[in-house]
Amino acid sequence: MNFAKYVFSQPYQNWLLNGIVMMLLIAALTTIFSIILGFSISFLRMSKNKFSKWFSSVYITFFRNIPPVPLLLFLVFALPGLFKALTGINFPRDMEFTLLITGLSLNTSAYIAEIIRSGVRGVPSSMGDAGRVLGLSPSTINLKIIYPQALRIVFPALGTRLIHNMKNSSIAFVLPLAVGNMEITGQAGRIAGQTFAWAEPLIFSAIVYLAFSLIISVIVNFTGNKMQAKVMTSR
Amino acid sequence: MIFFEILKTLIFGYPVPPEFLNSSYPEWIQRIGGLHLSVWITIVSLILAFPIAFFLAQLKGWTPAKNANIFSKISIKIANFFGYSFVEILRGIPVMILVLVIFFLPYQLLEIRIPAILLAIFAMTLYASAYLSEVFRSGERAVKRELTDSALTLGLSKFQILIHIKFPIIWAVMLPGLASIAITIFKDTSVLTVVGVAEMTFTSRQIIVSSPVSHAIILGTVIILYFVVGSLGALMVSVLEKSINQRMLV
Repeated sequence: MNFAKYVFSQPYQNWLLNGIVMMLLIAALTTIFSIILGFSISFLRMSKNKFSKWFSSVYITFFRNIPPVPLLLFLVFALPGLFKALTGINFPRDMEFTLLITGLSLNTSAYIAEIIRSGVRGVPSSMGDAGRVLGLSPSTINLKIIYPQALRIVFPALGTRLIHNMKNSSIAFVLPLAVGNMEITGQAGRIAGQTFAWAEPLIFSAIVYLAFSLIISVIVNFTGNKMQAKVMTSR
Repeated sequence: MIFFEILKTLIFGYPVPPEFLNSSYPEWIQRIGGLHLSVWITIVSLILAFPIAFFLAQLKGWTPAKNANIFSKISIKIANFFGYSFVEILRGIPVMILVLVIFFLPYQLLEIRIPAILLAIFAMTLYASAYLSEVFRSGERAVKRELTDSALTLGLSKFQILIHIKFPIIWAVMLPGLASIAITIFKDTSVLTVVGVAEMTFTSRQIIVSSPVSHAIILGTVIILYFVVGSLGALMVSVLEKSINQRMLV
């Protein structure tokens, strides 16, 4: 094991730092897009329209039951050809990173939709009734009464998803990404490709993943406890 | 029909030419592939993970007796620490890193070659045992003290209590968690494609390279197969869960 040679020397150090930044970027982008998507899907799931209910439950079961690796392979290798065959327009090139974020967000949004639905169920229905008695409109009840409390309830679960997204970013290793867009596993593989040393960069990246998941879980626990306290006092 | 050929290859694996077969290993283990191999790895690693997870759960839940001396208290604390850190490390790193570490470290550091399928099972076993140990703990916590105490007053032996009282409750509490872990492991066997284990995703990549059929059809079939098997497992478990719940209520 020679960490000084394969991890803490140029250019490998810069590659791995770049990988850490890309890992956090992928996790952040995936979390943002999957929360947006998951919110819209959970809206559809809770609406009274039959078609939207059916569509959202199919969406949730489908994306919860397929692994992200074949999904990403499909998006990157099959979607461009499919797009060309269907529309006749060439699919734009160098879209791997966008497709990676899309695939991971699709995968996570199904879980987030379920999490949000369980949070909304966790808010007592008397809250909505009280709002209706006070003469508030349904959208006001949702925005000002139900959702703020539901979010506080599901915050720990959403934090777990954030850690999950960070760990999921390692799946980008199966895709032919541009060198600058590779996250830390990809960069470790790149170092191994040049030096034949797998152990040092892999152990370093495992430690990085561990450290970040610990940091994020500490932050989420701290904020979650504060939020839980707020829910308790508001009841 | 070329589509049925592809489906057959995806389910049973790519045919291995006879000159590639190594006589020092059994033949079926070299021919196994595709969806067949994914399911096989899932089942074998879950079975192997059971004792490890049970051991880890005992390590984590080990509490000293009230009148224990300092030496045994310290050793129990150390055991707790080992259990917790083992599980936390395995849960904190992604499967991709775990698989790569297990596949590349033994050769680089010790220069030993191990068949890929054994390493794949080892990686998935470690991964499953970390998650299973949490499920075991929750199952053991669900057994109330009153139940075992009343069984003791009725004159049941410890073994009888384990079989007739503890085990049904632990099983009923554990089943949903166990099922979700089984489905997660089945889905995560797709990560093994990066190290060249011939499970379904890898087989589909082999077919893509060698056949003129559009990528969308091949990868779409793979996704649908994963979906079908995963949701069938989930369905089976929900039926089983309902029957167990009914029996527990009676």
